[in-house]
Amino acid sequence: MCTPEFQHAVVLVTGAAGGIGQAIGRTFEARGATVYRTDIRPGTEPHFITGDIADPQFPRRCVDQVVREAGRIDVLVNNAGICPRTALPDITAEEWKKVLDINLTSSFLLSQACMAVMVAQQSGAIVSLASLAGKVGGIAVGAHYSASKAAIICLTKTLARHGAPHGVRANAVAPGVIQTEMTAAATPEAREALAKSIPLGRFGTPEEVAETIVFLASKAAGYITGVTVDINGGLLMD
Amino acid sequence: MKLNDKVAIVTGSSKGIGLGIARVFSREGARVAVVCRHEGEGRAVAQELGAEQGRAIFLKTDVTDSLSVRHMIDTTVQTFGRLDVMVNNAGYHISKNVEETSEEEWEFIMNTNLRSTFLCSKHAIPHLRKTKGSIINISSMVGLVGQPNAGAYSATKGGQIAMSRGMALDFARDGIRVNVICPGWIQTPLVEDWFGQQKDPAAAREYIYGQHPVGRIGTIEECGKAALFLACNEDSAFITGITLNIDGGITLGY
Repeated sequence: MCTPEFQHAVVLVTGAAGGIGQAIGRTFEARGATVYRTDIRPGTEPHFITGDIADPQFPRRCVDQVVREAGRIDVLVNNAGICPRTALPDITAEEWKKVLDINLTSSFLLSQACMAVMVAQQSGAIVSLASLAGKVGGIAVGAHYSASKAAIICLTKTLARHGAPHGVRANAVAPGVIQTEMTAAATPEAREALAKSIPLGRFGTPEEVAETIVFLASKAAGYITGVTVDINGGLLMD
Repeated sequence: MKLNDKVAIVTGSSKGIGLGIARVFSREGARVAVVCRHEGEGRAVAQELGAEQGRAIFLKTDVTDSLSVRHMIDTTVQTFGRLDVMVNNAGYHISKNVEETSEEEWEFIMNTNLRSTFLCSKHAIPHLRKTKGSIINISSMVGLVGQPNAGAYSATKGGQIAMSRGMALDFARDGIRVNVICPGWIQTPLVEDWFGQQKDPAAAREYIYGQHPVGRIGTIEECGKAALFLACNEDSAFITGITLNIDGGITLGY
């Protein structure tokens, strides 16, 4: 359904070339937003900023470019992330650092840069991608991934506290098992067994994650800040 | 409109959070059963939501009474042909600690807040199974964190959360989703009365507003919008068993 809610809004989405990132960009655009996308993979959409989010200079450069071109930032979606499945004994210090740089440090640096813009505007919303793994620990995924996602939940609360007096809200979503390239790679038997373990009996879709993010960024969620919304089909209820 | 052709029951919808939810649902196309004990207030809300055009109905109901609840559900389904969303919002707060709370008060608050959630859910489920509908339980921040002088109340609100998780598991395979909203301080008659009862109402208001990181309390419209998100299958079909805080950050802690 089309609401004019985001008609004059400027949205910045990281990791915009992946399955969930594409859905996020599409969903905001469908509601009228101007969407800036970043990814290390090049994209064809307008306002696409190609670059490595792990480069500590990149977040600031992105935010500067968006503000220079669009004049404001209303919504930041911290979606970029990698999810190695390396077993605990095999995670090297380099791999640990790489995952934390991409999943956590980039979200912090981008949020820090956007927060300054949003505080000056006295409005804005930050939505970050946490994960079920950030609450229960990695089952199929690595320790670095789950640790980075747990940190996102706490970073979100700190951002919420900081931004609240200035009209800036910060929230997170914690997807469970979502239909992505990664789940598509599993065998049909493994997929079926996994789906059976989910109370709703299926995987979630990138669109369902995107709709929740759009809700949290919208005025409808104007009194919601610091929360993490589970999108997991009932797999964890805490 | 997000709830076109849908039918919702909202208990305690003559005022406060329930009224906010009923209004937002109605605006989004749902036909709404307005439920409360007070005939005058309930009829007025049903009127506002289009009772004359067949878009709303008032059902005088005692949500603590099984017969009355069954009548509420049956009449809704007979009138509108289906049931998609059951919102358990009716509730009451007694500002007393456990030592001061009488057994009668305990029974009253348990029945009004918790038994009502049980009864309305129990009798709605057969109809929700047909529509792959959902239950939305209105708990409270007090179901998550401690509050002074809320001994019995907090037990009912924590109870709603725990029961919701169980129901979410039990009925997920039927396609029924069960979620919880935990409002913080919201501009309702209950809260306004509380402000009025304080020695210095203006100072109390300033203090409570200041307790919220966002510097204000919430609106019933904002509660309605959150319930709409949880009710709308296009938005939240993969979300079940969650508690969604609408509290301006107050439960983030000190």
